[in-house]
Amino acid sequence: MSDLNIANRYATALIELAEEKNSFESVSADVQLVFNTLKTSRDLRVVLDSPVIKRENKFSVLSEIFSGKISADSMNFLEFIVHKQRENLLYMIMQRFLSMNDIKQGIVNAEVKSSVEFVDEHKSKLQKKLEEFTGKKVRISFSLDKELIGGFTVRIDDTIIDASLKHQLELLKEQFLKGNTSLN
Amino acid sequence: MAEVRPDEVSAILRKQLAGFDAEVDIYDVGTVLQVGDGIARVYGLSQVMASELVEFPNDVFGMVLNLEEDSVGCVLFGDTSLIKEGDTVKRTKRVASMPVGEAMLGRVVNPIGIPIDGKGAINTDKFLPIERKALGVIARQGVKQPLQTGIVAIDAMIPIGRGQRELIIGDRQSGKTAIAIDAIINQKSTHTPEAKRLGVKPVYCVYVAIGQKSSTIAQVVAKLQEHGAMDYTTVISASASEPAPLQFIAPYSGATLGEYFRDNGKDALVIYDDLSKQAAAYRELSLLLRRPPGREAYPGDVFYLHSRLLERASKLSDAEGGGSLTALPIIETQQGDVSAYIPTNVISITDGQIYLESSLFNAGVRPAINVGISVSRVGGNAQIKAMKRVAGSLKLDLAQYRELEAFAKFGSDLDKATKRTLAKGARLVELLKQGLYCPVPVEKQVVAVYIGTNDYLETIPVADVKRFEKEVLEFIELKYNDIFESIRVEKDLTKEVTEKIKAAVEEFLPKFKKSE
Repeated sequence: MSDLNIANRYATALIELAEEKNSFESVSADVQLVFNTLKTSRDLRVVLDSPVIKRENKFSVLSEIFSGKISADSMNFLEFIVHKQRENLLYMIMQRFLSMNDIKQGIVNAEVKSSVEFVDEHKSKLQKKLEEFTGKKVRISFSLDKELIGGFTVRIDDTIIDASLKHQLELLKEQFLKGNTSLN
Repeated sequence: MAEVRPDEVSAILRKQLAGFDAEVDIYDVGTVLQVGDGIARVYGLSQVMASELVEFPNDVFGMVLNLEEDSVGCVLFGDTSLIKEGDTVKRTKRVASMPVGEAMLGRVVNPIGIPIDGKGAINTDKFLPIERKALGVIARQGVKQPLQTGIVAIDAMIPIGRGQRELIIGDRQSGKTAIAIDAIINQKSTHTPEAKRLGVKPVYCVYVAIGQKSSTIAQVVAKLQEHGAMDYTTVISASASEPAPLQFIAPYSGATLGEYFRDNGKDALVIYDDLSKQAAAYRELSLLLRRPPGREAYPGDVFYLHSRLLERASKLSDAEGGGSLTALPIIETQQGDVSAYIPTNVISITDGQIYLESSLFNAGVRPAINVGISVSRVGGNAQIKAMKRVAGSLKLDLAQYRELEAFAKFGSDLDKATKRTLAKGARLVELLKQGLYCPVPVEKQVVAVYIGTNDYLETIPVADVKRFEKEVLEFIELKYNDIFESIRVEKDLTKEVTEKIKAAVEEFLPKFKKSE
């Protein structure tokens, strides 16, 4: 069974459990914490992936890092995952939980790359435009990319809205090279 | 030396730029997870459709074939080595298309329409998708006009009509491609003003070479060039060194080219040489895409692969323009096994088969057609009346000959009737032998078959039959050309013409010198 399927199942189970027990916000916050920790710490991911380290040791590492910082339910979930020998997928499970959560709440993530820093006024304008475009709430993360020469690109899931100068120059190049024949 | 002034260049550039629209571009992307063996697995591309064309870096295109839960399987129409893991893949939002039109005639192209004959770009603005749905029942009509192949055995006993699918099946080196090439060369006469006068529509040809040696394809092109056939033919080349995806779509590209002519009220002929290699290429693709293998490791939809290709060959109704697309698929059997998977599939799809046997070929009967088991389900509808009259008895005589063939060894111990049948049959078989690239026009075929079936060859030794045929036809052409003209125009064998033929042959017989 593919990893994605497995991660989906565990994440779904956690979501449903949290909703049942009415502790969705706290579980959500816990998941976010675990996810961020795993994201920043490569060592932790390596430990969880490793088949050499014993299960009990893995769990003791996890409980030491997170005890007192996450709720008892979430800690039980971590123990459950380790018990089921799916700790190597913990990162993916957390990821899937957060994206499923986003889908449920109608939030999409947008990565904006621009050649120069966005002015605040433009940031809010962009936010509004994107929300109009997608019909959902948009969570934007901004970053700089000098290679774009000018303009910006927005990436939402698999769709890219490209308003960069680099892309326009590429299209121009194609236009010149096309000549008379085209593969259209 | 002519000089280009800088301001001229700027003017040209400005003109090109004028048509350029600087708009925000919205496209969908994915990332290559895995690439190799002509297949790429892509992560992302969540909105992509099946059979859509996607663009890889370095001008490589691919087609999406597998839509799975967490990845998309694409086949690459280009060099796999130009793609690496992590590359971005873009959707083009269109299906694979092929340039079509009169500009394609005389060219040698690859399956996606790029010319490979070094004669420059192809100037056409018409494009049609490679995969198209075949027409429904109402848009079609029955096959009525003959497609003359120029090979006596075929045009007399296994006639092919315009809009029919006739399978050419045989072992390796049994003459399959030769029949196909002869058919193309014979269409030259349909492009003359003479043909227009006689009401014969021109036939445009497409030859699709799949998985063959490039040297063989080059030879075919040279042969067609030599006989002036390239003026109305396009060759699509997917040689053995092309990646499997290109070999897989090559026949569909050929069908698309032919369909352009069909949909414009013209007649076209497409030859797929050969479909066994296309099935093997498709099997290779499917196995790499991890589709479950079926019988002989072919994927489950290998029948659909061929049926949707061959269904596109049809005769359109007059309301749709009356055009037609005739298909001559070629299948190579292993050791004459026509009950293998792919041969049986294609046999059940086509409107008849031409069986070529190695034993006949080795015995000197070339074309090595086994008339007994070859069939054309269109039959008489695809023959001119003249041919219908003479061909009936030909088939019967040959059938009787075949039955008695085994007794030919007991030459002296047989009764007179049997001996006569054997003698006649042997002469008919000799008459049907034909040289390579020597198609015979239909009027000469009719006269030749008439002579054969009406016992005029009785006194001619078997070894002289071909020479006799050649000389008597030359004689008639010189002295009584009106016989041929009448058959050409009337398309029928009237009583008076029959009398004229009889008289001409009887006049020639005593003049013929038998070889000692």
